Order: sequence, then C-alpha cells, then structure tokens
Amino acid sequence: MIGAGSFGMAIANLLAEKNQVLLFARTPEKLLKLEADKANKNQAIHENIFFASTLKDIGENCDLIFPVVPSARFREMMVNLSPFLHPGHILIHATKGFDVDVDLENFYTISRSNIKTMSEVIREETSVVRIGCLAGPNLASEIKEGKPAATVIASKFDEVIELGQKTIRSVRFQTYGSNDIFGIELAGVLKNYIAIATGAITGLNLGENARALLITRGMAEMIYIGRALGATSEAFLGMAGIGDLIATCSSPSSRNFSVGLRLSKGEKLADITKSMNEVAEGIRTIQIVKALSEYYQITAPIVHVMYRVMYENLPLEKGIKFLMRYPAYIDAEYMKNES
Amino acid sequence: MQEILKTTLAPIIPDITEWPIYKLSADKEAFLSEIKELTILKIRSKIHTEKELNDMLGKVLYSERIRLTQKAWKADPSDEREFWATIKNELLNIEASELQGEITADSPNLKIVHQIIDRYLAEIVGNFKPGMYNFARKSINVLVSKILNAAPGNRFRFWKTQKTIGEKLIITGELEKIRRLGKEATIVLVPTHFSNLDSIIMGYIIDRIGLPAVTYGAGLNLFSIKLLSYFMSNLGAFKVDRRKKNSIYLELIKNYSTVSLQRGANGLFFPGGTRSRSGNLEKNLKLGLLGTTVEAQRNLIEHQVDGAYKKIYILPVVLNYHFVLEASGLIEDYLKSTGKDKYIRENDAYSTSYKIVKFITKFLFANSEMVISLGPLLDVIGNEVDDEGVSIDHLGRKVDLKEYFTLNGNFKTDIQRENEYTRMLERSIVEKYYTHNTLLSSDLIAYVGFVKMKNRFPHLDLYAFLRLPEEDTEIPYDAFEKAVDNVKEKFIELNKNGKILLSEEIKLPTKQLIEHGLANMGVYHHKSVLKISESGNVISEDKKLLFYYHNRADGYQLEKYV
Repeated sequence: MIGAGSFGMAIANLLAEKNQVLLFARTPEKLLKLEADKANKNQAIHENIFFASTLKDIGENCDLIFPVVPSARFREMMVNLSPFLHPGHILIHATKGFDVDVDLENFYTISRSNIKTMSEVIREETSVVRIGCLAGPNLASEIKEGKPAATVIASKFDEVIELGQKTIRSVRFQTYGSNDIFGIELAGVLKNYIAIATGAITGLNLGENARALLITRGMAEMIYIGRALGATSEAFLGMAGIGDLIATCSSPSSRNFSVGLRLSKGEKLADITKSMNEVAEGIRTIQIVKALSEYYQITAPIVHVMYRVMYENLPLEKGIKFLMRYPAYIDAEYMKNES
Repeated sequence: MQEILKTTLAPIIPDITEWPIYKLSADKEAFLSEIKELTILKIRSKIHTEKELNDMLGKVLYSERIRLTQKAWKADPSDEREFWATIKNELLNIEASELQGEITADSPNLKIVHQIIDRYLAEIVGNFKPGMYNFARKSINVLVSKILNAAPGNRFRFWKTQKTIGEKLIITGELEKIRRLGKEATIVLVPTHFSNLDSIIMGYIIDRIGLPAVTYGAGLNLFSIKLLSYFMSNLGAFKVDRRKKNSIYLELIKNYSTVSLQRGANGLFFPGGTRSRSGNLEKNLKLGLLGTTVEAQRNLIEHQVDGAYKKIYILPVVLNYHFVLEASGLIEDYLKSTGKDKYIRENDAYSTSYKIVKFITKFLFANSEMVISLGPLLDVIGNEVDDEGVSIDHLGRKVDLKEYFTLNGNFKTDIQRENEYTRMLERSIVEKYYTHNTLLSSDLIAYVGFVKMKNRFPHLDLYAFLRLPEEDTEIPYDAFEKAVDNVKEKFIELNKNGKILLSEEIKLPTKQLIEHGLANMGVYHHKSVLKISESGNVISEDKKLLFYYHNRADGYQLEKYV
C-alpha cells in the first residue's frame, strides 16, 4: 500500500485481514508516527501491516501494489517508484482524480489529450501493464468502523480483477468486477464535484427534493462529460457511478461533500482548503471539468455554477437558484440517445 | 538505424535444408498431428458435454451446406458434397442416449470432429520444396527487375538514365540486426496492404535480405489457377478459404500458424486483413492471426529448455508505391461503404477489379520507384528489442518477456490476458506503420492538393465535394506551391522527431519536388489524378483517386498548414 491517508489506511486494514501488507507513506515523520502509535487518527493498525521505509522496499517485496495518493502527486510518486517495477507487478490504484499536463492556474484549453487517468499515468511512467482501479461507495470512515460496503475492481485483465477480489473481498466488503477501466475511473473522478454541489445545497437547507434533483442531473452531466472523453454510459450506472454518488452526496464524512457544506456557510474556498488536512479531489476536478465542457461544448450547468461560486465569487444562493430553475424538458434523455 | 539495402544479401542460413520451413515440411506428419492435437485440446477446453459438441457440429454442418449450395467454386473438390452428406448421416445416427454427460474418449461426436479436422488439414497444408523455391526465387527476381527496370517511357522525362534495381526498389531498415537476430529467432513479417502486388514484393524482399522463406496463408481462390497453385503449394503457402467461417476451421487456421511459429518457421501475414480500401495506413488490425504470435511465444517460454527459449519477433513493413493500379476499385468500395446513399456512383469502366495477369503486364511498363521500410523488430507484446534481442519497454528499460506471462512469480496461461497483449501489439504495429511510412513526392502533393481543393468548400461533405466538376476545384499554382512548401517543412520537422520517414525527393526544392510528384503519381490511371492545366492551374480529373492518394499522408494532423 502506497499512501497513508484515511482511505489508504482503511484499504490497508481490509487487505491485512487476509494478507501481509507493506505500507509506505510519503513523509518519514508520518511513517514513524504510525509505527510508534500503531494507529492512525484513532484507528488501530492491523498487526499484519508492516512499514516500508523506501519505495524500493515496496517494489522488491510486493507483487501486488495499491497506490492511493492524491492525483496531483500521483505522477511524481510513480516516477519514483518506477525503477523498482517490472512487468510482473500488478498495480491497482484507488485515486479519484485526473492528471493534467497544463498549469491549472494558467491554461488555454483542456481536451482529452491533456488529461490522463491514473491507470494511464501508471502505464506511461512504469513497465507495468497489468493495471486496475478500485472505485465505489467506499467512505473511509465507515469502512474503518467495519460497516458493510462494496467496491468495483476494474481492469482490462481478468486476472487483475480476480486477484484484487481475492485479496480484498470479505464478508463486509463485497467486490464487483468490470473490464471498462476507463469508464470506472471517470465515474470515480466526476462524482466528486457533484458531491461538492450537493454539500452546498444541503447546507442551504433546500430540502431532499432539491438534493435528489441535483444528484440526478449531476449524473446526466457526468455521463455527457464521460461520453465526450470516449467512455460509454454503463460504468456510470454501476457501483463507481450511481453507487458512489449516492454515498458521497449524502454523507458529511465525505471530504468533497463537506467542502460544499462549508461553502454554504459562507466560507471562502481558500480558507477551506487551508484548513483541510487531506485533499478534496473535487476542487481540482471542477477546474478541469469546466475547461473540458467548454472544449467539447457540452451543456454542463452544475460544473459552471460551482466554478463561478468557488473561483469567481458568485454568491452560492444565486448559483443554486439558477440551477434549480434550469429549463429541462425530457427526463433521462441520456438513455435515449446513447451513441 | 535505417540502413539502405545496396545489394542482395547472402542467405543468413545458407543450407536450405536447415531452414525451419523445410524441416516443417519434411516432418509433415508430426507437424499436422500437433496441430490436430492442439485444436482438439482447445475445443475441449471450451466444450465439455456431448450435447454441446453435437450442437457445435450441427452449426459447422449447417454453415458448410450453405457454402456448398450458395458459394460453390469450380475449384472445390468433387467429393465435397459426398463428404458432408456422410457427416450429416453420422450426426443423425447418434442416439439420444449418446448425448448425455461429459465428452468421453470414444465419443461419436469427437470421432466426427476428427474426420472434419483431417479433411480440412489435408486441404490447408502447404509444402516446401527447395527446388521449387530456387526456381521461384529466380523467376521473381526476373519479374521484379522487369517491373522496375523497364526502359523509361517517353511520358517520363524525369528518368533519363536506367537505374539499378537498388535505386528503384529502395529497402531500408535495421538490416544487420534483423539478419543477426533472425538466425536464432522466428520472424513474422506484418506488412501494410495496398495492392495485389504486395505478396510478390514481399517474397522478393525476404529473399533479398537473406531471410529463410516464410509460411503464409493464401486465399484458396488463388489456387484455382493451376500454374499459380503449383507454385504456391510448393513454396510453403497454406490455403485459407475465406468462405469457411465455422469454429473448427477458424481454430485450425490459427493453430496452423501457432504451431509453425513454434517450430521456428518465419511467418508473413497482412494484419489489415484485406487491401486498404481508403488508401489510409491501417489503423485496426485483425487480431486472430496476430494473437497466434503471442500464444506461440507463451508456449515457447513455458516449454523452455535450460532457461533459454526461442523468441518470436514481429517485423512491421511499410510498402510505399507512387501508384496503386487497383486504386479506382478500392476507393470506389470505400466510398460506397462509408457514404451509403450520399455516394452516387458514376459509370466507370475502369473501376472493375483487375485480373492479376493484366495487372502485372500493365505494371511491367510502369516506371516508378518503390520504397519499402522495415520497421523495428518488436516482441509479441509490442516492445522494441535491443541489439541482443532483449525487450526494451517504452521507457527504454530492459524487461524480461517471461514476466508478462507470470502471476505472483509463477508461470500461468491466461487466454484473456493474451487477447489484451494482442491489442497492445496491434497498437504498437500501427504506431510503427506511421513512424516508418516513407513520404513520397506524390503522397505529399496529393495530400496538399486534396486538402486545398476541399478547403474551398467547407460546407460540402466529402461526397458532395467529389461530385463537383473539375473546373470548380482548380487551384492557382502559386498558392499550391506555397502550401506544398509549408507542409513539406512540417513533414521535415515530424521526420526529425521520428514520426515519419522521407524519401529523397522530399528534400528537393519545392518546384522540382512537385514536378517529380506529378510525373510519378498514379501514372497508369486513365485520368490525371493531379496535373497542371493549360491555364497553369492545378486540377484533378479524378478527385476520388486524389482523395485515395491523399489518405496516405493523412493522420499526421497537418491539415491546418495547407
């Protein structure tokens, strides 16, 4: 396991039930503290988890590696890990963000050629070809408490799915499989900004109907963006799409949801990010998806409104009001014109 | 490093009786029974019960009866109907009680499978006779020299002097490395496919660079021409009948390829399947035969002796011609299938397909050069290999091929995994087609000419544009030359970045380059694909062909520089 964030730790603990796990964290201080405390933020660390002091240890001792680090630092980590990897390794990541080759503070357009999913980054930076990803309604806090959950493991290779399932499945952690890794990755990434918007609408106390409306239209928006990038709709209707969307859009323990919630209380984005100790991927995703929707000329009102709220000081109430009145005529139209 | 072939190179294995393809033929009985065994094994890994096997046989019989009644050829053996009638009777004679449970060793269904396999194999199998090979080698040399050395016709002022065959059929590639590694390894040539001439040219090239002969699948229909049949069946060609699409037959063809590769015989197949209809380089390949390279390599690794195993290398080959005689027919097919009712076909006597003989006679008088670029050697995953034949991944790191076939350090067979690897190999081959495509003068001017003409009518779709009268699409020469100059510079830049190869004329001053292109492009079509009109403008008498030739340089995203 590479990454000792709350999700990485939750997965590591699940894996440790059946396997010996070697864990690597980015900073030596964090590693030392985990080792000394035998716990991470009040969560006990399973006795089958051991600590690796270098990425070399991971590459040399593990056949199956789960990288779970924020998307903004994913490539850098892969470059560092790469010298110790070879085609016999299998990597299953659980990072839900895009890698972009432009400066998000200063760019002209973003199209498919500018963005990479994490599996594409692994493919580019390493000799590994058998790659998978893990996505689904997996709130770290609930997994930690031992509550039941399910995930989908996606890979072009059946053996990666089977191996992933074998190592992580348990009575309280159900695993599904899919060969559509690109679709599953996109679903996992795109749902994050819908979660921010839902957090905002929840904070404004507009009621459950409004929230359901937002989630449902959010789903449509995700599908349109996904199709423009070359994905099909199926993945969005499964565990990593609708499943994850329902979980993150109803839980204050989701980081992305809580960003929205705090926006609704009048907090500024800069203050929110400063005070969070882990990354909310949705913040970065909003910038990227807004640019994508402009490039591909997709009607995507939610991402545009949230972008203006977060980066252009549009009052949240005004933005949400606009969304709630957004004219629409046909329900679930995305099922009818499946291309 | 791309080296240019100067003279015919000596065979890397001088003694023909040492060639794997010869040994294969000499050991025919064992070779065929290995294919048969493998095929039965694969059928039984998918089908477990008598009932399923019986159903499968029913489908095979059904599709064969359709072939016999609707797609019969004169060349079909006279006892075809009789054979299938016997199979039908045997199937009918199987008692319901014999359809219960798992397949047993004395299964009546299995017995029928054996009969069918034996019959198919007898038809498919090729022969390899050194005497015939030497004869063919001499004739093909004469033929190709004739094709390329024909005295310059009076239409072509460009060629004043007779050129040597090396100057007219330019072969480039990592020749030394291919020859050195080819001594120990199996090489599978995978050329692009534009013309019926390709097979002959490939036969010629393989001999010229000194590689042992290859096995290749040739359409059964070609074997109905007696002389050709006699030739090919003694040169190692195996027969493929495109009409037979049943599961046993397809499995047999694949296994024929797998087993011959495993036994070290070099292979050749056109992975695009058929000739490129549009004139574009192939983007999607047929994965069936390509996948046999992965399977054979896995088998070789699995059954390695003393830690060493024979390697299989894939060699992409790009054939570049200034003109393709069948172009009219090909592009017609393409437009018909893509345009549907938007494409209105004109009556054009020349669009019918050409007979091989007519085709070669015509070509004898042609006077343009060909450039054949051999791409880098690839392993079956699509990695390039270094001078010692070790796989090098996209990061330039040495990788152990064996590891792609292991899980947790243990060797494991996994068909689904191999299908994915075949896709990776496909992508790698296609990429090499583009990077090892050699831009000819005619490709460049056709590209610029077509894009420039089309740009004047942005509101028209391709089909409406093609219907415009020729005077409407004229372009002034000066603007054309300027655009050629621009695009040429971009191609030179791409070349520096390893994205394409350039023929010598591309480096000529633009005016001369255009002259060279005009003199060489599609010279044997009855209308000028591109020419300078009396008023000095650039016109095309056949925009469909212009589109076809333009497609060769398409795919490099240079439209905006025209």
